[in-house]
Amino acid sequence: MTTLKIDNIVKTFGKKRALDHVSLEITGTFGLLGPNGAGKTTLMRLIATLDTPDSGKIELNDLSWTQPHQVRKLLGYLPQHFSIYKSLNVCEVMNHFAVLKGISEKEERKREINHILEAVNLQDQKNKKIRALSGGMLRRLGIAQAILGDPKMVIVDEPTAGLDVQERVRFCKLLRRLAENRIIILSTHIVEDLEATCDHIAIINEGKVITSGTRRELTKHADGHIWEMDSPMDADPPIPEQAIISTVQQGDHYRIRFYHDTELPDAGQVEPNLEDAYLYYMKEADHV
Amino acid sequence: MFKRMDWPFEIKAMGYNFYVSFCPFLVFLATYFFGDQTLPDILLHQMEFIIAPFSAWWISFLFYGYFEEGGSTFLFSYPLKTIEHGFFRVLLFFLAYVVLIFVCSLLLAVRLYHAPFIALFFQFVSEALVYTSLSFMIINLFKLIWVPLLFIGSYVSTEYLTGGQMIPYYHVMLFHPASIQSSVFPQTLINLGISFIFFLTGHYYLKYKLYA
Repeated sequence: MTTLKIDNIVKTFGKKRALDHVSLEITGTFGLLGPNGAGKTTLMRLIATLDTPDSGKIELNDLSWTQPHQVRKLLGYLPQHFSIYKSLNVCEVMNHFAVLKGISEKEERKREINHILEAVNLQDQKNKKIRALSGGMLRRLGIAQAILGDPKMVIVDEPTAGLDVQERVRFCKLLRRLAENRIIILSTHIVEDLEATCDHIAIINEGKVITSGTRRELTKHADGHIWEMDSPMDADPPIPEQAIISTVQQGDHYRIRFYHDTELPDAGQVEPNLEDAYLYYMKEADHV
Repeated sequence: MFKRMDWPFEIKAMGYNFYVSFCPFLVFLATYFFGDQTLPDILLHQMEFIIAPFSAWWISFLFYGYFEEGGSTFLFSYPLKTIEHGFFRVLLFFLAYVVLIFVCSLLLAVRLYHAPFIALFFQFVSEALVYTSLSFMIINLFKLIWVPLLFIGSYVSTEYLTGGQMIPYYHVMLFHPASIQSSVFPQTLINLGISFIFFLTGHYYLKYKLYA
């Protein structure tokens, strides 16, 4: 299996260190999870060859990121904000992107564009102007241009930001489908997106990788620390505010989910999900 | 070499802005055919102060998608060389503009018996090249469509209104080209040199953005 190796990357903007000795091994569908400003987009831009690290290296097999032109032949990139050529229609824009990606044969271009538009469910919108597309359609067009030319690696930055729930679910399914035989790197701060899409996940905070592993490996870390208990609606919750993960109303009481290192009376231990684990890691990071 | 050039698309992407560049030519043709035929200086001024500077228009709008619509955030990750993002695209549109200058120069040479076509043609092309390359450089540096247009517009109008007195060091235009043919070729060569510097600066800055 092809592995993208990120080794000891440092990137600084002025006095701010955006990435601080980041090392990762990326295979399959890989998610970068972290709060806003954690360094996810900086890392994505480095992988997409749009920026260069101050130190460290990125490699895919024998290919080094010191040869960006060679790397660009293998990658597709969807940035956080994608919108261009608003007065033209989907087909015209896709055809242009295909020409830029080097698909010079007209028939081949047409075939590939039709195939991709079918895959991203934009076939019915092919004659629509870009400005007339909804947010979800625009993201799907963005992923369509990214996978033109069948790249070995697709980088998708915050793909579901601003989408409604239906569009988000549809987009995650699409990413899952596209993940066959290629590396997909997805960055987000929405935990559910990664649960639905990624096999491997890294949590980043303040430019550092806090942890990385499979979903199970990540959630295992919070095993034994996640609890649920009922609390009357008219009383203050018996646990500190900062330890609460969620509060759900159930009839005449609240069901509180929280983390705690020791057992509490009336509280039941529950199996952690990725969101619990993420918050637990972030809490630990904040306390360091 | 030009396999990844898609200029029918570039024209569509420019929209009505593509056709704006034809307006000065229509004005020229209207003046040529319906204006006072005893005053050829008006046509020469139109060539120097309107048609040549307007070569910057297409170049600015070529990069609208890249910089104003944010296309560079992903187009720079495409497997294109710097020259394919920049110089080749500019060259195609400049050559199209040269065809229009060719027609005007030919018409002028017919009207001005004493001015050889070749001198007129090279002079106007060299002037247009300065504005084209300047536009290319500025758009890459500032990433805003209006900056090169405003800069060139200000320069040309200042030169026209003050007869070149405001910026006395060097003039892209000759002011009275028909009467001083001897200075056309040195001026053309200097303009070519300046254009070369502007193109190189724009190209290397773009390369820096692509590979830095």
